[in-house]
Parts: sequence; C-alpha cells; structure tokens
Amino acid sequence: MIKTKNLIKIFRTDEVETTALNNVNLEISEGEFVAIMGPSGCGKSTLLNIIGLLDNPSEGELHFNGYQVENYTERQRTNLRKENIGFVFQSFNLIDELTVFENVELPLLYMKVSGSERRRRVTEALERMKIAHRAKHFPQQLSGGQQQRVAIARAVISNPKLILADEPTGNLDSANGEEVMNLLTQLNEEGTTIIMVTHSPSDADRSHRIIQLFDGHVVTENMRQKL
Amino acid sequence: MFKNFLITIIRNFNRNKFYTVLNVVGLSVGLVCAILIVLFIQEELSYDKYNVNHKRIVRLASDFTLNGKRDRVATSSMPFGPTFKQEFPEVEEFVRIHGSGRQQFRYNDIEFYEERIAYVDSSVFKVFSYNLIQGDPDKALSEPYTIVLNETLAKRYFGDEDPIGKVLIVGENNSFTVTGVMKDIPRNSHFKFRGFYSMKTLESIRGVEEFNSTEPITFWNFSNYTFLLLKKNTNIDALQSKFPLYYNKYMKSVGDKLGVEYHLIVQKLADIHLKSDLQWDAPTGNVKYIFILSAIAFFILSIAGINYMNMATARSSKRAREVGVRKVVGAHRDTLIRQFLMESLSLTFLALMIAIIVVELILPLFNSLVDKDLSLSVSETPEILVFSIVLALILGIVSGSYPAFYLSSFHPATILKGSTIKGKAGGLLRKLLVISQFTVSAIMISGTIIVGVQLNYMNNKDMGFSKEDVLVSIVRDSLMRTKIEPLKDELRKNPNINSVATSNSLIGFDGAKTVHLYEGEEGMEQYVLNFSVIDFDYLDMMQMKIMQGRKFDRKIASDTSSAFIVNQAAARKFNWNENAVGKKLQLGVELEGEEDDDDIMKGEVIGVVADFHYRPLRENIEPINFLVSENPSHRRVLYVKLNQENREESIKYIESVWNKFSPKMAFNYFFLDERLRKNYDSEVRLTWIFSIFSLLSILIASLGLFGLSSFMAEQRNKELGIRKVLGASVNQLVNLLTKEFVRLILIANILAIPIAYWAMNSWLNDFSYRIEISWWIFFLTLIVSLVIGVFTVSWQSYRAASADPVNAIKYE
Repeated sequence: MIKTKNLIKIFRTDEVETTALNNVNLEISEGEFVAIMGPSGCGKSTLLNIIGLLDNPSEGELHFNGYQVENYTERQRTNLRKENIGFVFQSFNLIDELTVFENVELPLLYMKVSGSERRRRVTEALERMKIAHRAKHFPQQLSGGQQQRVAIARAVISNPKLILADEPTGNLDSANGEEVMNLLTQLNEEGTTIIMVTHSPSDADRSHRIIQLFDGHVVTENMRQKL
Repeated sequence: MFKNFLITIIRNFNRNKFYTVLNVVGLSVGLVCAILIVLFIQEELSYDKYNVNHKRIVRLASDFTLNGKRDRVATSSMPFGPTFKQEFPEVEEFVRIHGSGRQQFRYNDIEFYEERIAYVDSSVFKVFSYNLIQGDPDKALSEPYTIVLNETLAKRYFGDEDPIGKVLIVGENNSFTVTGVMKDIPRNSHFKFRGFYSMKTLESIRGVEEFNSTEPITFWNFSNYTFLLLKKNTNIDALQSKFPLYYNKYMKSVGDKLGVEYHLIVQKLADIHLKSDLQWDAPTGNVKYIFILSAIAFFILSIAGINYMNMATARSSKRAREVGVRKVVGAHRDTLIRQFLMESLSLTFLALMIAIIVVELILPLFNSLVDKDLSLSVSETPEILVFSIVLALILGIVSGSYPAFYLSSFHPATILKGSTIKGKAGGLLRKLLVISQFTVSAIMISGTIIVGVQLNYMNNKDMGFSKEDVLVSIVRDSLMRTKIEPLKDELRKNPNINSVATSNSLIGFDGAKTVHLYEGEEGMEQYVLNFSVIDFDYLDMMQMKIMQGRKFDRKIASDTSSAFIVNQAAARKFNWNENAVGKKLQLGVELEGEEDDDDIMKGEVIGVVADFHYRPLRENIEPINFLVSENPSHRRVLYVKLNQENREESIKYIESVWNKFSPKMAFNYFFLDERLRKNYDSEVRLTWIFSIFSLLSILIASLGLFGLSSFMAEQRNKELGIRKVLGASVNQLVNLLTKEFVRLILIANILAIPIAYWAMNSWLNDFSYRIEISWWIFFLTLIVSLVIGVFTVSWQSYRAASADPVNAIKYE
C-alpha cells in the first residue's frame, strides 16, 4: 500500500540545515498495523506527515496504492487524502468552535455527502466510539480520552483505508490510553491499515511491526507475532 | 457547508468578543463616514436635476473685456430672452429672472421682511419643474402685481385661509394679488426663490415701451438672469456658434463704441452649482470639495479595512489550528478562502446595519453642521442604499482577501506538529498598514488645523476698516431716505452712539461697477470701476486712512458734485501712484443721443484712501471709487457705531427713532462683523467636515492600534513575565511595548507632511489672502497623534506589564 524509496527530508532555515529523514526505504502492506518508534527528533512525525501527504519529501519516491504521489499537486493530494487517509493526533486537534457532532461531520462536508447520509454516519461513528451522548458538547467540555475518541470518530468517518496516528495516547492517562488503543486495534482487525508513531512500548506491542528510527535512518524493523 | 461556515463564524465572533467588537465598531464608523459623505456628494451632484427638462435648460451669461479688464458675470440683459426666441428656432421658451431686495410683506397684522422673491416671466412654470399646488401655471404670473408664493410663505401669511385672490402689501404701498401657491423649491436648486412677482409688474413700473425696448444700449445692461428651454436634440455649441450674427445685429454698435469685447457664455442648468465661477451668481458649490470628500471617504474606509486585515492576520496563530485540521480532513485552499471571505463579509454587513442606524440617528446633527437637508430613505434615495451595500461588499472582500489568502496558506504539517505560527510573517506588512493609517490621520489632523487657522485669520484680519460694533440697517422706505440727515442727528443725541453714516451698498458685500473714464497718459481712458456712494461721515466711521489729499468736506460745495476719493489700488491701476490728487475722473460715459445723462459725474480726485477689503478675502482688493451724492436714493444702508456698553438700550433707542421716521416699515438690523463672518460660511462648513472626519479617522485608527497592541501584549506575555522575574520594572516593560508604535507614528507623520502640505497649499491658493503653512502645524499634529497613539497603546501595555509574572511563565 505504501512504499518509500530513498526518502530524504531536509529542513532548511536561514542558518541551519537539518536532515530529518535520510534515505528511508519502507514498504507497508494493506491491513498492517505498524508502529514507528525512536527518540525525540529522530524524524518519526516527519515520516508520518510525508506518508499522510501533509508534507513533501525533499528527495526520493512515495508510492500510495501503486501510484507515485510525491509530485502530486496540492489539490491532488487533498483529494487523495480525504478519500483514503484518516488522522489521529496527540493533541486531538479538534476545532473548538464546532461541537462533537460537527467536528466528526467535517470530512463528510468536504466530500459533499448529503445531509441525511451525514447524520446517519456521524451518529453511527459516535455510537461506535461510545461518545454519542456528548454529540452536542464542545471539545473543551470533554476529557482528554473523550476528545481522542471524537478525533478517532472523525478519522474513520470517511472509511479510510489508512489511519495515521501520531502519539495517540501521548496526552492521555493509562486507562484512557488503553481504551484508545483498543479502538485502533479493533479498526485494524476490521481491515484498516494503521501507522502509529509512539513512545510507549506497550502501545507498540499492539502492532505487527515496529520500525525504529534514529537520526533519520531506519535502524531496525521487528516483525511481531500478531497477538 | 454554508451552514458550517456560518456556525464557525458566529461562534468565532462570540469567543473573541473583544476583537469582534473592535472590528465591527471600526468598520461601522468607517461606513458611517462613507455613507454621510456619499449622501453629501450625491446631493451636491443632484442640483437642479429635479427639473424634468434640465438637460434642455441653459443659462445665458456674459463674458466681456473692457480696457484689458475681463469680467465674467452670470447675468445677461432683458432683451436677450425675447430676441433669442425670435432669432433662434432652437429656443422653445425663455424665462428671465430679475432679483429684488428684501421687502416688507404685510397682510392684515402679519408683517415680515422677505427675501429671495424675484420678478419672473410667466413661462417660469413651463421651463422649470416647479410644482404649482394652487393656481393656473399658464396664467398665474401673466398680470401686473400678481405674486406666487411658496407653501411656507402662504402658510405664514394666510394660515389655513385660501391664499388665492388675497392681497399682500409689499414694501411701502404695493398691492400684489396672490395668484398661485407652489411647493417650496427643493433645496438642491442653485437658486432658492420663495416666491415670484410677475415680470409684468416690472414692465408696468418701467413702462411697456421702455421695458420692451430693443435699443442697442438695452442689451448692455446685464441686470437679470436669462434661462432658455431648448428644443429636443439642440446642439448647444452649434447654437453658440450662431451668436456672432446676433451680436452684429443687436449689440455691435454700442460694443464698438465702448471698445468692449463680448462673448456669450451658455451654461447647462445642471452644471451651474458645481462648475460655475461667475460673478453675480447665486452661491454655488465647489467641485473641489467633492474631490476632497471622496478622498476622505476612501481613506477612512481604507483605515477601517486595514484594521480588519491587521487584526485578522495578527491573530492568525489562533486560527492556524483550525486551518490545519480543515486541510487535513480534506478542505481545499479555495474552500478555506471562501470561508474567510464569508467571515469578513458577515462582519462588514453587521457593521453596515449598525452604520445605517447610526447615520439615521446623527443625520439631523450632521445636516445642521453642513447646512444640508440630507435624508437616508429607501423611497427617496434607494441608490444610496444600493451603493452602501456595494460599498460594504467591496470593503468586506478587499479587507478579507489578504487574511483569507494568508490564513489559507498555512501548512498543516507545520501547524499540527504543535509549533505555533508567531504571526511574524505579517509583521512588516502590519507595520506598513499602521503607518499608512496614521499617515492618513496625520493628514486629516493637519488639514483640520490649517482650515481652522485660515478661518481664524479671515475672521480676525484687519480689513482696513472698522467692522466692530457697527449696527447696520437697510433703509427701504424711500420717504425715510429723504429724511436721513435729521435721523442721523437724532441718533447722535444718544451718548452711546458714536457715529452714524450711510452708503448705497453694504461694505464687504455688494457693490456697483460701471464704466469710468480716467486721466491716462494719452487722455481719458475707459475702465470698469467699482464705485460706492457714501456720505460725509462714512470714511470717519469706518476709520479708513487717508493716504493722499483729504476727506470729503461738508463745507466744500463741489464735494457733492465733482469730487472723488479712490483707493490705493485704483491709484496704482491708473498709474497715478503718489500723484493721484487732482487727476480727472468721470463716472459713466456718454452715448450717442444721451449727451446729458443724469448718471454721469465728472470731477477730479481729492484724496486716496488706504486699501481695504470691501470683498471677501478670497478676492484681491480691486480699485474702487467713492463719491458723495445729495441724491437720497443712495442712502440705502445705515451704519450706526455703538459703544460697547448699554447695547440693548442703544438698540432700543435706535428702534424708537426709526419708528418715529418710518412708522410703517419695521426696524430690522444686523451687526456688520457678524454678517462679514457669514462670507466664510463655506469655510466654516469645511472646518466642521474636516474636524468630524479627522476625529473619526483617528478613532478608527486608534481602535486598530488598541486591538493590535493588546494582541502583541498577549503574545509577548511570556517574554514580559521572564523580563519581570529578571528585574524589569513596569515602566521599562511599558516602554518596551510602546517604543515600537511610537516609531511607526513618527514615520507616519513624516510621510504625512509633504502630502498635507501639497494638498492644503493648493486649497489655500484659492484665497488671495491666506496664511502660510508653518512648521508648528505639523509639530502639533505629531504631538496630537503621539498622545493619542501612546495613550491607546500604553493602556494595554500597562495591563500586561503589571500582571503577575507567575501566570505568564508557568505554562507553555
């Protein structure tokens, strides 16, 4: 599903040049659950952003579902993203001005899904994430765990093939973190490919494969037995 | 999607009430200014256009040059109307308007002095679209001594009675029958008559034959206004090009004799108010003010728009995450641009609604300041509302576009990683915007000061005569004019009355001019010279200085028959310079067959009076000639110089004396200095307009500065906390935050100086007597903008600087 070839990402400011990714070669198949680990600043989030088409590589190739996409235009990338990829962030990134329902509904609006269909799907997703009773609340009125469940509901609402999660439990206590990981695992079991950046070894344990990054290089790839 | 936009917008406004209110207030004030100015301009441009036929109505005016002196006057002569209709098939109808001074009107016990009533031909209702509510437009003014009143006057004299057929006593003893009542002439008319006497009245006073004479000399008495209604599709230039033939037929013989060069001026009715600059015209507008006001409206709206841009981009970090999330879940950039534009549009439309309400509320006040009768209503001025909406639309799109493009350009990867956008990218632009706002404000402030200083200069300038404490009354009673010397003696008995004098024209205002012959190097030469008929006390009372020769003297008999006193300008003009005394001068010229014309006076100069301003200070001092006459008809204006004390009593005394001499005509007076001040009404209005709008422009700019400084203080909260922990005092922190803005205001003022100098200098150039723009005006402007700017900024800075540092540094 995802294939990178000699992926390089260099950040330049006026004075400093930082190589965030250095010749990263990866292949991730459909249905996989991959965890990316490594110390702070090793390029984990950069890799995730490039895979999620939020950022461009400086060099190298990125293939998505067999298409070479690293030179896609902004518009093409947006279209590809909204149909195939859902995002979950450490800091949830919900829009404060919108209610839970409206936040989850947002991707469907951009996909021009009809009103009744949107209502049906959002209600379904909220029920599935056990947060339907909070549909009319605003993000600040929810706990961190609840916010992250809303964020996951938003990520899955468009039935994406791929979910990118950037330290999804980083801001949560262990109980809430556990619950979020259960949800992600469940989604993966239903067929969604998941790539997750994490610092937590126990979260990483849920994955099929752990990719260790260090200074922009892939150091090890451990295949794990599916539990 | 639209609903989603709307929800976000409303909740955003709600969450950021402070900035939303600042923005809405700023935009509303900007729109209020723009709407007021547009109303004003629209009214100025609408003058005389209510006349259905205004495109076909022209005025005949005269441009003549005698001995190198050119005069352009708004008037023409009595025979022009009828002969034009006779000679030119293009002329469908003509109407002549002949002014008449203030007259006392009397009906039973009701009596008032009325002005702005003119003699007109009965065709007036065919040419102009005056609405006759009662009476027959074809017949109303066809008989002598008939009068048509406007509604106001009809109500004043007849109340609820039917005015038709009633008899009004005008002046001493003239009975006019009311034959019609017309709606008040709209305010947007270049002349605003309140009633019409029939022209037949004038004909019967002067005699049918003389009145209708087409002797060549009658064409040269430019005493009335002539309007022509042209047939459809008449080419005005073509009509004018036929004029030389007409000239040769009717006017050439006298013209050649006088050595006059004459050109006909044909003015379109609707052009008169803004474009006419002729003498003897009704007060007109000034097209320059239209440009100035348009520029002000544009600048004030720009300031308001800039505020929006500034605050929206400054606060971009707050919106960045929303942009990131929306992009991640599939929003295209153009969708986001649409969203932000909708946001700015909703804000401007909210501001527009408030602005319209505010305009409604303050319009009466504004009207009284600018002396207009503007109104904002869907039925009367639908175009203004449409214009306002278009204006708000443009304002919303223009001020919203930069934030929209800026905000929508954020990269989600950068934002969502958690790193905040510092709003630095817009930093330079924001500074430029603040500078441009304060440049405009500084131009407005210095403009206000300059207009005010010039006005003050004109009001206080030594006019060359004493205008203080002079009570003026116009003597309309012809019998009283014959008894003016006993009246003067009677008045002088009162110890509070210093002196009394008379003249034929009101000093500082009207005057007469006629052809004179003066002693030149090669015999007598012609010149059209102003003249004023005065009495022996006049020069003393006005405290005019004699520079050569002597004053008029009662004891010298020839002083009333052959003596002239001219001003220095005349002595210079005629090249007499220091040797004017004894030079020959003649008022009026003999024409063929009129050898013994009564109006001719021959004599010599006995004195030269120092130049004085007998016209408003916009105009240069022209040559003038004084003479004393025994003829009582010249005793038209009575001047009484009073003591400062016991004013009330003195006035009562004058009234009692007056009533003794003229029991029928009520006593009516004004003070000379007050009346002279009225000469500068349009400057007073301009001062008001400038003051109001510069105040508002500063208000809007300050609102923006307030918002921006609060935001910056908020953003530098942590920095301030750390500095404070390290030992900075509140003062030092306030300085830190204020310094930057002070620098911007300084730059703005420097930029404003040349622009303001250029603009105001060209305005001042319209005045013959004007102030020079000196440095202190700009210095004062700088102080004013600095005080306002620093006050605005330091309020927020102080709050931020004096806050407890713990709160600022404890969280990230």
